[in-house]
Amino acid sequence: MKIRSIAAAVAIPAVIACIVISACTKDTGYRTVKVYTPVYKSITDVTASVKTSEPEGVTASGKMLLLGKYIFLNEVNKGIHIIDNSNPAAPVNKAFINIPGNLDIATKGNTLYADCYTYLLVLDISDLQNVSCKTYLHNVFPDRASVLGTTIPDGQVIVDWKTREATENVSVMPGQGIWKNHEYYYNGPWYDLYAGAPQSNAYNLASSGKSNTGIAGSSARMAIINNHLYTAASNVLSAINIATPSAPKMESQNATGISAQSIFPFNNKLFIGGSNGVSVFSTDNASAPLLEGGFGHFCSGDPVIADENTAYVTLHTGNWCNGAIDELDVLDVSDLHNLKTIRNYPLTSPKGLSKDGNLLFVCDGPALKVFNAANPADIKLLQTINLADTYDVICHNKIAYVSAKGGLYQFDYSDTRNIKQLGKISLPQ
Amino acid sequence: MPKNYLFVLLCALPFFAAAQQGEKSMHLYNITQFGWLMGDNAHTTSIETVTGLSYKRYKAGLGVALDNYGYKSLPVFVDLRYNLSKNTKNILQFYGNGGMNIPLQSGNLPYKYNNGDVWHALHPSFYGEAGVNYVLRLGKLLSVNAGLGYNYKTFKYTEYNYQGDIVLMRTATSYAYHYSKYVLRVGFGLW
Repeated sequence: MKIRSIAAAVAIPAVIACIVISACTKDTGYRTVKVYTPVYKSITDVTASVKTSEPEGVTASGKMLLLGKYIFLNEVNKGIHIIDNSNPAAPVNKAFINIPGNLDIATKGNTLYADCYTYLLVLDISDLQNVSCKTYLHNVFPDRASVLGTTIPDGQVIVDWKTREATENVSVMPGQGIWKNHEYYYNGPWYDLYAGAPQSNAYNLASSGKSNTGIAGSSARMAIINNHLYTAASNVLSAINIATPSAPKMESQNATGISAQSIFPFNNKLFIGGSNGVSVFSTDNASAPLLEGGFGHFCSGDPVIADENTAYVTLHTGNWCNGAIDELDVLDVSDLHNLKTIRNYPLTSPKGLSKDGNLLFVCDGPALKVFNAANPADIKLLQTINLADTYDVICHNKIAYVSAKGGLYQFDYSDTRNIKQLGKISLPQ
Repeated sequence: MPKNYLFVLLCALPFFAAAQQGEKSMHLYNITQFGWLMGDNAHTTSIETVTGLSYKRYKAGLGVALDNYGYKSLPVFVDLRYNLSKNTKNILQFYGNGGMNIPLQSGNLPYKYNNGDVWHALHPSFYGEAGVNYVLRLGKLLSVNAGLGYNYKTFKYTEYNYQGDIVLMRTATSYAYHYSKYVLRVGFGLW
């Protein structure tokens, strides 16, 4: 009798509980993203407001350009810091030029060329305290017409983003929950929303080495040879006549053959670094560069530099194309119609690079590595300088300018056995 | 880990033995059970052990489990039990527990990218279970247990990605999964 009572006391609530609970055994998932909504302004308003303003803190350093005693340092998508580097041990942040969407810089004489999403702005920098925008060209960087799925309307540029959080359901797939054999099961839309705060992961610098132009680095997308400015934008190589620097004229736009992300001028050649290879153009006809050779590689990194017979290309993982290679490729470019690999050197996460004589500097993730590249087939590591997240490097007058997570560093390498840090512009961590 | 657990249990045997003095005295107890989790999207296993103090019809203890449902995790919880009858041989008890679900790193959600940046950050979240348990004592110390319950755990993580082409932007997306399922448990107890 007692056992019956207990059984009844348990069974009845248990059955009721099962019925109630059975409605609650559904697995549910949610994901929360930040949704970014662009704030637009007309290009005429933007160019009218381009001027020298008070210096601002460097928060997301981008590409860099050396011009005399000044360093022009891009603040990703925001503008340009003007840094007085008269004393490399104590550089001074002098001013800021607000240019929304800016990533790249090039200079010729007193004219500075800066991208503003798809536009190329032409700035008069004869007086750095009174910089102004003289004119602009449209559609020089067509690959920036769309930002994170948002197509920018003609005549407009994005000057800010409004953010809000949004949560949506994520289906939990039948089988073994949501993870099976290391695969992620998600049947919702991937790209309907985009999330996160923009942070700098852009690399640096652009260069032609000509006397009246700035000196930039291996990841630049603009390069100047004589009276022409060349820009690489995805699969488009533009040739712009700047014989009159303040009145540029677009002369041609040709396919690069690769997904171009950087451009490096050497003599009369343009080495275009892309996520899937390297293309070499001759500028014998400056108005319409001619594709002479190319070299394909797996989707990976891109920066490229070159000298007479050799090109150096870094491939790295962790970028948008999810490449799986981290290495330095050394190419024989003595015959542009038949580029050959001399040797591949495995590295950690190589990005920007620069060469001075036989010295090759490579930003390799958590370090700046210095190699003796006298023999491209047998490059020797000379020194490793530990710096978190190095992006790019420019070598000039025995000083290596290194852009890294912690800021902009300068190293004196006049004595390669005793490379010394001269100065640093700190970035907030 | 299992060796340490057995060592602790052996050391505690005199305290369990004290339980034989009668239910009115406070004493240690331990329950170790294997579980079969039955949810909409998976049937899988778990194991848990609870050690605590027993007084009259009440038991309160701390437990730890290994839960394979959805994403492998290590729940740590407070466990409360109440015996429905005074019978000390055949006992029906209600139990409930709640605590923290600690997800375990695995290759399913790689911790870092090749470049060293964090890819997935796992976050502790809620874990709980409630049900009814049947205890059959086999001797002075040992008992066997079987129970049916309702189990719930939350699994949260943040995924960091890079988006964009020319300018890579590091993005953070938060995920929260709520797993609700029945659980059938069998095991043994030391009392």
